[in-house]
Amino acid sequence: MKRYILWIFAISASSFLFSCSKDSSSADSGSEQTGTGGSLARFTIYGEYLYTVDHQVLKTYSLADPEEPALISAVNIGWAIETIYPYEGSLFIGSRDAMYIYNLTDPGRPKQAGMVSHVRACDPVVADDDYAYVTVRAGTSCGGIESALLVYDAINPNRIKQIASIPLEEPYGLGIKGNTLYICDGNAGLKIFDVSNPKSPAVLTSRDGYMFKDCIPYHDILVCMVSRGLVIYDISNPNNPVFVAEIIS
Amino acid sequence: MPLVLCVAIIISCTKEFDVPIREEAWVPVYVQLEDSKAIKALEARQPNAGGKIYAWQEYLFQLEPNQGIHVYVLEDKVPKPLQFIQVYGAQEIAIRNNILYTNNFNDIVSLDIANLRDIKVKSRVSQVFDIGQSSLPPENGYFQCVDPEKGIVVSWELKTNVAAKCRY
Repeated sequence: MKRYILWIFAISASSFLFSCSKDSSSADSGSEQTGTGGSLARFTIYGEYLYTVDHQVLKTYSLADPEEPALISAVNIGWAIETIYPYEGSLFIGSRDAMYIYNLTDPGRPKQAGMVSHVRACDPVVADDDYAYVTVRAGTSCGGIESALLVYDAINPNRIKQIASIPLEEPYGLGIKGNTLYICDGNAGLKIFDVSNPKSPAVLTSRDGYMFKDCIPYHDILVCMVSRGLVIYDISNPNNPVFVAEIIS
Repeated sequence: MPLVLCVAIIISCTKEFDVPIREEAWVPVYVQLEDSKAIKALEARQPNAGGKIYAWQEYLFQLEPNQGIHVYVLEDKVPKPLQFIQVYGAQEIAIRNNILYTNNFNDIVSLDIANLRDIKVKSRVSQVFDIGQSSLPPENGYFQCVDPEKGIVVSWELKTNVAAKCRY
């Protein structure tokens, strides 16, 4: 199964979100020992390490003794850092102005491998084997005027090019399961796309009734963070989420 | 001279009483420093703001920002409320090998959740995670300014007919 790195970059007046999500539970080679976070995380666990980002500093803790995280390194990586996501031996860190890639060859001491900012401020560029999916949200301090899903051909990380742009309303986080992309488009609902052809994401369906902010495809369910609580959809058929339950205030 | 003194006293006295009463204003809820570090398993409660989500084994977790973590157990895809873990200042979560890592304000705490009914705090790394705890209420409006002498702000309540000087 082809795997895509999903990059979510949401520009807002208060935050820049970068995130990545895939359909299996962890970077721990399929082990269920490590859980799965959503696209808005500042904490993430990859292998035997806990990585945290605050506004400026990336810290790495060894979990060799799980009960006693031990600080191994701290590096000042920029400013207005928002999110962190590990993938294939790298950390992808989003900030308001750039996306940083840190290499985890030495997992205790991430080293900056690259940084990308763009002509259009706040557009993230993330490299995967092949493609990257990004949401941008308008009306923010980054000056973005477009709210959209952007798809990038990232086969050559040095020459990433945008290959598709799909207008959205107010996108936040997103998740992917196989060729199905789930985008949390705020009050405009949950938008489900078929991305078997990444150049032409095709809208399959949508769900509304909530203000969707993030979602985690987790086994056969989609766990959605919505305003005031969470909502669960059955995605045994990934293209057709079926409402299961809500827990809302 | 005595006249000036009288006037000065009158002015300073009225200052204490001239904080306007607002129809609606946010009021900070304080806890003492030691209590702000107390981490405990409490009965399940309704979510309020709906924060970040996390999944691990057959459990789902949702942050209640600055309050703690809602814990649900999945039963045939349906989340059943299990409990609420009080962690003031909590904004993040990650879990590995039965240990839940979260932040208690600027500290990272490690919680043994092998037995969710008996959560044990295993360690605390102090003053290592700083994303700024807000001294502002959750929404725009009038609010009672935060007074650090009163303790640590852990939540806000919207009250009616209350004196409030600050505005957001």
